[in-house]
Amino acid sequence: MTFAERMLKIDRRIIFLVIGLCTLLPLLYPVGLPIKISPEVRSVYDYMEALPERSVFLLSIDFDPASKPELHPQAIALLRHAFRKNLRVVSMTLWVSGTGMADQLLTQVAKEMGKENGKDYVFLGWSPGGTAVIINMGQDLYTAFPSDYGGRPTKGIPVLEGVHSLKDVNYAISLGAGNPGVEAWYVFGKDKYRFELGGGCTGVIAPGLYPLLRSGQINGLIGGLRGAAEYESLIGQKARAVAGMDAQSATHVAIIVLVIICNVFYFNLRRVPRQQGHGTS
Amino acid sequence: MAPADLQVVDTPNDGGESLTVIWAPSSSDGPDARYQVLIGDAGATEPDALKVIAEFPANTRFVKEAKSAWWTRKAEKNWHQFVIRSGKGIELKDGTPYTVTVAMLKGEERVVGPLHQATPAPDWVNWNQFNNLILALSFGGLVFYTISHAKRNEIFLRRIPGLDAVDEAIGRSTELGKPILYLTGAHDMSDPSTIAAAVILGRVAKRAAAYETELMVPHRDPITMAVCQEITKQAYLEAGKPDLFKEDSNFFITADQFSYTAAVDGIMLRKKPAANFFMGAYFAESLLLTETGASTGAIQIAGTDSDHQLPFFVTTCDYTLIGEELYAASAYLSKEPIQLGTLRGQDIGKAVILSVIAIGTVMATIGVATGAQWPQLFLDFFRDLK
Amino acid sequence: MITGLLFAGQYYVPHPASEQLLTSVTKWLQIIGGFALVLGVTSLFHQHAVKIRRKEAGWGYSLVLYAGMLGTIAVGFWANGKESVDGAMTAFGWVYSFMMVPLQGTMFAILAFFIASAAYRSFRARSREAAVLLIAAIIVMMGRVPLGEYLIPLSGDVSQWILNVLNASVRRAILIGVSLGAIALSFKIIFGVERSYLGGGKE
Repeated sequence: MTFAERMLKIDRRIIFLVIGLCTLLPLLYPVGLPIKISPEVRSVYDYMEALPERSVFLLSIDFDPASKPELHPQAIALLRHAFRKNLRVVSMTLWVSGTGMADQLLTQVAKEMGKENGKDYVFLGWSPGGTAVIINMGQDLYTAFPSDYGGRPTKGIPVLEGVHSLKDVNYAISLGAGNPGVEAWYVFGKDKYRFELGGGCTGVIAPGLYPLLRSGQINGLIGGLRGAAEYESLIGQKARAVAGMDAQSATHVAIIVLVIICNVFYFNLRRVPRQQGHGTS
Repeated sequence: MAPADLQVVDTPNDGGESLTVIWAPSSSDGPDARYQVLIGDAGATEPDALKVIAEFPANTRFVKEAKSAWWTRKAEKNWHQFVIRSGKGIELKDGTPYTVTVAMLKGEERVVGPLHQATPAPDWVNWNQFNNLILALSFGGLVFYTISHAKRNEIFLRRIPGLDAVDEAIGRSTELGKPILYLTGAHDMSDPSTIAAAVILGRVAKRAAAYETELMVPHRDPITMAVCQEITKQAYLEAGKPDLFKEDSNFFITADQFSYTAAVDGIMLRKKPAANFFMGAYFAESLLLTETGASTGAIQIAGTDSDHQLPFFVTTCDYTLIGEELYAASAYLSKEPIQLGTLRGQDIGKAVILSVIAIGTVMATIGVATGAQWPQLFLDFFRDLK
Repeated sequence: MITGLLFAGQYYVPHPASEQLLTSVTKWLQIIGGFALVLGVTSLFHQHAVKIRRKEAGWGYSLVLYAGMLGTIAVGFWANGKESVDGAMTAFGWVYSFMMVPLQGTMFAILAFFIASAAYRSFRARSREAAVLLIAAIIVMMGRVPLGEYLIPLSGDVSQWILNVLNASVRRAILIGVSLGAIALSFKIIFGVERSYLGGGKE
C-alpha cells in the first residue's frame, strides 16, 4: 500500500485525536481573536436595546441538554442584556427535558444581576402540547400556565401585570434546537398574535432559518456558538461562547487542513496510474 | 385646514374592539404640522369632552402603510388612516358607540374636524385572507383532481435513480450473508416522509424475502412499528416466503432521540449489517447513525426531506434521495393512485409558484419603473395580508 | 372531516367565538399531550417487561432501564419534581444535572468528531460538483470562525453572501416544496383519503 493509500485509509481515531486536541488546547490557552458582528445578530441586539424599561420580554428556552453548548451561552447573554435593560423577563420551555436546565440558567443569571423572582422575572416552566401551548398563550397566558414552575399562581405575579396573552409581549425570542422551535413560534405565535419575534438556534439548523430572516418573519437570528459569541461581544460581557470560538476556530482550520491533505493524496493517487501508464509506453 | 372627508368606521376584518379613522390628505401635511386623534363617549357633542389618544406628525400614518389589499382597502393609498385599538389608555367595548374626531395642529393653530360616531364590532370573515383561501382551495382541488385522474389514467413517473442503488444494496447484503438494517425516521405515521419510508420498506422487505436475507427494522414510534410490521408481513407473503417472516424483525426501541441512536449504533457494531437504509425524517442523530454505519463498511442509502440533515447524509451515504425524490420513489414503487396523483398535484403547484414568481418579478419591476398601480392588482393576490 | 374543515375555516374567522373554539380545542390537545407521555412510558415498561420475562438477548439492559426509570420517578416524586429547593440541589436535580445533562451532551458532542472523520473520508473533489461543494464548504468554514476571518478577511463577507443569498433561496425552494406536500397531506387526511397514519392500509 502506498503512503497516499495509507493516509487515505487512516484510522479515524487519529482524526478524533487531532480534533480533540484542537478543541482542548485553545480552551486551556485562549487566544481571543476579534469577532466580527453579523447583521442578523445585531438586529436582535438593536431591538432589545431599543425596548423601554419594563417592556415584556418572552424567552422560550426550547432546547434540551444535548444542545446546551451552543444555546446555553445564547440564553445567558440574552438574559444578561434583558436584565441590564430592566425588562420584565417571562421565560418558559416547550421541551420537557430542558425544564430543569432552563430553571437553573434563569436562576443563575437573575442572581448574578440582582433580580427578584416574581418582580423582575418569572419561569413558567413546561406545559404539554408543544404548539398548542403557543396558541393557548396567545389566547390567555394564565390558562396555558395557571402556575409558574414553583407552583405559584401566575395571576397576581407582579412581573405579569398587564400581560394577558402573547399580544401583550413586546419581544419574544425562541432559542430552538429543533421542533417545536423558532418556526413553530412564528407559525402559531407571531403570525396570529402579532408580536415581534427573534430566533436563536444551533449552527446546524441556522441555514434553514435564513428564509424566515430574509422575509422579515423573524427580525434577527443568533446562529450557533458564533452567534452567541457575537452577542456576548455586543453586550460587552465575553464569556463561554467567546472562549469557545478559539476552539471552534482551531477545529474548523484542522478540518480544512485535513480535507486539503486528503485531496492532495487523492489526486496524487489518481495521478500515479497515469504516470505508470506513460512510463510503460 | 380641518381634516377633510373624515370617516370613522368599525375596523374591518378583525375580532372587534377597534375603530378605524380615515381622512383625506391635506396641502398642510408636513413635518411641522401634527394630527391628534380624539375619542369619547357616544353622548359627547363638544371636542372638549373628548380625550386625545394619539398625536403624530402630519406626514405619517397613511393607508399605504397598513397591510391591506385592493379588495379591502377603504380609501386611496395616500389618505391618512389611524386604527384605534383597546389597550393602554383606552378601552373599546364591542357594541358600544364612541364619538371620534381628528384635529390638526400647526403652530399655534388647532382645527378640529367634525365629530363622528361608530361602534366597534367583531367580524365573521377576514376578507384580507380571501386570497389565501382561494389559493388553498385551488391547490386542494388540484390535488383531488390529479388523484382522481391518476385513478382513471396512468401517470408517467420517471424511474428514480436511487431505486437502483436500493436493489444493489440488497444484493450486496445477500452476497455477504449479512443482514439489512432499515430505519424509518424520527417522525410518526402522520408525516409524509414516514409514509414514504414505510412504502419503500415494502419493496426492500420483498427483495429481502426473495433473497432470504435477514431484515432488521428498529423503530421509534409504536404505531409506525405496527404499520411496518404489516407491510413487511405482506411483502414476505407476496414474495412467496411467508414462513421466513419474523415477528420481531420490526421492533420498538425507544422514542428518545439519543437513546434510540445509541441502541441502533450498538446493533450496527454488533450485527454489522451490509446495507443500511435511512429513510424518513431525521434530526441531529443522522450523522451519528451514518458515520457509525460507514465505519462498519456497510453500503448506505438515505432518503429524507429533513433538509438540515442532508449535508450529513450526502457526505456519509453512497446514495441519497433528496426531499421529494423520497416521495417520488415511494409513489413509483407503490403505483398507488393517491400517491401518484398527489405527486402530480404538487408538481403542478410548484410550476404555478414558479410562474407566479417569474411574472410577479416582471410586474413588480414594471410597477416600480413606470409608477403604474395596475401590477399591484396581480401582486396583492399573492401577498400575506393577515 | 367536519372537525378538520371547521378548524381549517377557523383560520379565516377573526370573531371571538372562533378564537374561543380554538382555545378550547388547544386545551384539549394539551390534556391529550399529557396523556401521551403516560402512554409512552407505559409502552416502554411493557416492552422491557416482556424482554425480562422471556430472558431475551440483552435483558440485563432492560433491567438497567427499569432501575433507571423507577429510580428517577421515585426521586422525582420525593423532590416534588423540583431540581432545587431554596438553592440546594435535590436528588432529582442531581440525577438531572449529573446524569442526564452529561449523557445527552456527550452524544451530541460525538458529532464534532464524526463530522471531521466524515469530511476527511468524503470531501474529495471527485467531480466538478464535488469540487464546488468543497470550495463552498471551505469558504463558509473559514468565514464562520474568527481565525478564518483573520487569515482571509474576505471569507466572512463571502460566507455571509452564501448564507443570505444562495442558501436562503435554495432553502426557500425546499420549504415551498415541503409545505405544498404538507398542505396536500393535510387535505387528504381531512377528507379521509389518506389513512396510513392510523395504521390503515389500501382500500
